Amino acid sequence: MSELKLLLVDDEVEFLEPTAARLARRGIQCRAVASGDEALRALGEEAFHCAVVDVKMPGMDGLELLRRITRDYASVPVILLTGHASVELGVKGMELGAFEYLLKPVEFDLLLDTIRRAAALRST
Amino acid sequence: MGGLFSRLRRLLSAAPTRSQVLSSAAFRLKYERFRELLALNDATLQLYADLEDLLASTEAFALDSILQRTRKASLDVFVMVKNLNQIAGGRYHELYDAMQRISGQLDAEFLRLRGTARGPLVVPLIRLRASDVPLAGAKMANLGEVAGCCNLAVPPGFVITTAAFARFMADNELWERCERLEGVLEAHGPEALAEACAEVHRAILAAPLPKDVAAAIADGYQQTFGGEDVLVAVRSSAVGEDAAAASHAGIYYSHLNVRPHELADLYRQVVASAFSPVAVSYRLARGLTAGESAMAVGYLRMVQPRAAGIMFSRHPEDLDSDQVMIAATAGVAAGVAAGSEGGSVWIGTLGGQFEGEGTLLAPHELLRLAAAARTLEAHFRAPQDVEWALDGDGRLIILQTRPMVAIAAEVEGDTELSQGLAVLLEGGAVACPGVGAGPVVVAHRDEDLRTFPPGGVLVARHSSPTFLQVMNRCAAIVTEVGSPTGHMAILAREMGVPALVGVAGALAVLEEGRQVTVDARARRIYAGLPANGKAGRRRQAVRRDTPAVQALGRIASLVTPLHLTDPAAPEFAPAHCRSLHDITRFVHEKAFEVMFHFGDEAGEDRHNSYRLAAELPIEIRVFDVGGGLAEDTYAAGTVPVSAVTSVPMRAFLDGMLDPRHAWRNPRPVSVKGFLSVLGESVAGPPPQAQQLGRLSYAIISDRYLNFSTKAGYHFSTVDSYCGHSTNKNYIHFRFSGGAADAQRRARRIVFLTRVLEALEFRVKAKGEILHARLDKYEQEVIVARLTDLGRITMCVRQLDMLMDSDATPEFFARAFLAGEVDKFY
Repeated sequence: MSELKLLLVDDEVEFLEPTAARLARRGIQCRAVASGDEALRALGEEAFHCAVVDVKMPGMDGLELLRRITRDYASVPVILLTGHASVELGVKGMELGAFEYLLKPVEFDLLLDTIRRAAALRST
Repeated sequence: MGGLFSRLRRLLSAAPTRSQVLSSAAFRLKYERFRELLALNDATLQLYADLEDLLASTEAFALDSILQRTRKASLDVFVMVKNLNQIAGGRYHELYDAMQRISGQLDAEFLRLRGTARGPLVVPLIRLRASDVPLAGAKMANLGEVAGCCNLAVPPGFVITTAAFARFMADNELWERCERLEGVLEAHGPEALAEACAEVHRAILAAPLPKDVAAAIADGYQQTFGGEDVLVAVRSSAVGEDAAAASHAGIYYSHLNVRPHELADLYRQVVASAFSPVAVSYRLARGLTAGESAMAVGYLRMVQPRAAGIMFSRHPEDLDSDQVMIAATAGVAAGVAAGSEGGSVWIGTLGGQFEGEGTLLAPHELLRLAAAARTLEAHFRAPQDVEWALDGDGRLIILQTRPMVAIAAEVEGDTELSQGLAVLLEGGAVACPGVGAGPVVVAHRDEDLRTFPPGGVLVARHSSPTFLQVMNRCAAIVTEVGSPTGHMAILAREMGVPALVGVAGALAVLEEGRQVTVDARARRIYAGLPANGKAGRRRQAVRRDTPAVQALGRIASLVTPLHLTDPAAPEFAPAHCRSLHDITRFVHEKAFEVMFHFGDEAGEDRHNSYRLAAELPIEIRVFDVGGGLAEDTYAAGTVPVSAVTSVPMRAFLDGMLDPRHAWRNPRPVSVKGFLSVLGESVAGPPPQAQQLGRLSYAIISDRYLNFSTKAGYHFSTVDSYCGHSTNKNYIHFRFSGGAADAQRRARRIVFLTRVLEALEFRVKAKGEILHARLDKYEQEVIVARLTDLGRITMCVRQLDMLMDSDATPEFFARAFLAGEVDKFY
């Protein structure tokens, strides 16, 4: 597979930056943004294989961003991340078409694996 | 020929006609989600069983850890629903509705257990009444009641409510962490609890106050004290605190002489005190939930007292007596309550004299205090434990009132037990009567409590509420300093631990490890153990009638009962799921249904699969989803049998490749049988018999096999996991459809039922569909049965041809079980 391009969206900078750095070391080209608005701007500028989106963000939350992505960028699978283990959020996210719903703290390898899976499915 | 072939396949296949081509990544994903679903199924079933046990038991148990597990189950079941939808292409979306419905009901119960109320974030003390406990916590609600209805003075103050607390906890995502603590103690013991609590403590102290909560504190301060800079006392006021059965005496945090700039910090401190090791142990021992720690915080103007103390409206050892007990100290009384100071004690009646030490309180002051105690008792309709202060102008101010904790009427232990033992020490005051015996364990510091052995007699300089941590396992408590009116004494009475306080010289005489018997009622400590070799005391069972226990019952009814028992019933549907268990059952059933068609999705995808180079009359395409084939690249898309490393696939192939299957031998086909095969399937020129049943798919991993033969006289699937963990191992076998007339099909089902039942499968046959399963067997058994299934798969191909009128299914079943495979050829 050619280099994988990922959009990482999380307002929590302590998560965002180290995760982006680790993903980059594993060969994933990562654009890290801290809000839903920035994410939409990024999607308008370039194509991504996959988006990883935190559910709880100020302003546009992760579910709203997911809704926009599935509407306007249907080919980009979305992996939702949440620090708050909630069945309700999970159900909403899956019904809105999330590719996967992962709980924070997420094991890095699991995240990496899920990203690769999502991207692989997209490319078929 | 090709057109006929695909037409045949469509006719014979039970799968959707649209062939869905999956990539190898998708196969792997689907397989892994299926595996995860099965693992979660096992985990949740275990949890349902545990929950049922816990509900039936009378032992003290941790409601919080049950809640924790319930929440975990609800997430696990959600993931099962998610995975089922992911492997079934979203076919079971209604399950999300069922999931949301049940989890919504559970959340509502959780919220009620958390004990928080909706309402304003701040309320002036004087506006509160006893009914405001859910909003203001017990301590402050009662104090408001005293001011409003008892004609007694309380300090000016305001309360930051449980609504503010709920906001603080939710905004900082603190609840889940806090609710984990009870589980930590249960699972890992007190030492781990201390660490876990310290971590939660740090998280709470570091958490920012929501803006409106910070504003509420500032507003309350401004409006209550009118812009004056005053010192305040910041006091806990938890919802479950101060109940007669659960005093929480001295467990939560109070802070005196607080300056205005410290108000927010101390808010966090008080909240954090609800999650100290002592508080967690207390709730655990009393069967309370973290919900009953929902914490309001009172800010009261500091009183600068001449004297202050505690009083009981009845003598604690005899609630029917007419005596009032008053303990006092000069200045602020925190030390009396905490037990680190003795103070002076008076006992007397309203109409008569008070006996006691010292001149701190004049007789008329004692009478005034006693009268106030009885006023409160009359108002609250129960003997009261009252914290009071007399200020410099002689005004009486009530700081707190709560129901007294009566000494347990029956405390196991009999004075006669100690007869014949030598007296080591005598004296002190009875904090809780009863007899307890065991080795002396001296506690100098709180840390010493962490390693406290069960059955020890705790000996310490000062009494302290932190002893609560060991009250469920210590035999008795002896302290050199302390008061029967102090917090520890109240807790000892609640927990039924024999306790003596104020025993002079205890530390000098009671050396570490020495076996002693404490008779608290007689105020004596003896050398050695009682005649029966044990003393002990009764452990209190959790009260079964608390609101928390009732709520637990409601929660359990949403989790454990199974209503969906018959997969064939019309009620076996998402809309009829009423519990998590129902959903689990439904998902499990449907997951296997989906996996029976796993092979269909292989479709005509040749890119991600290998042709198995085996001497068989059928062509098998192999999809490896992890460790099923030896790592190698295989030329021309073909793998040899020797490359198969999948344990269940190897076993299955062993059966298929059994040399006794003489399928190569030319065999006369009975015209009658052959025509009947065709009669119900296709019209047109008969295809070559060998070409029927040509394509089979095997999706394998190192321990997994999903084998389907879909184009043939029948459609069958074997789904199996075969590893070292017996509990995870299974074989599910499904057989259906096929050509041939109804009579022959029925015979075939009879044959399979006989054989599979003899091989210990559980078999369900209905019409032309047969399900057989074998669950939780050792790897060797699974391997042997898979080999049998391999043989069956080969033999059953012959059956339609063989079973004419005089050849019964019983005959072939016996032949098969006797190992006479050749009879089929």
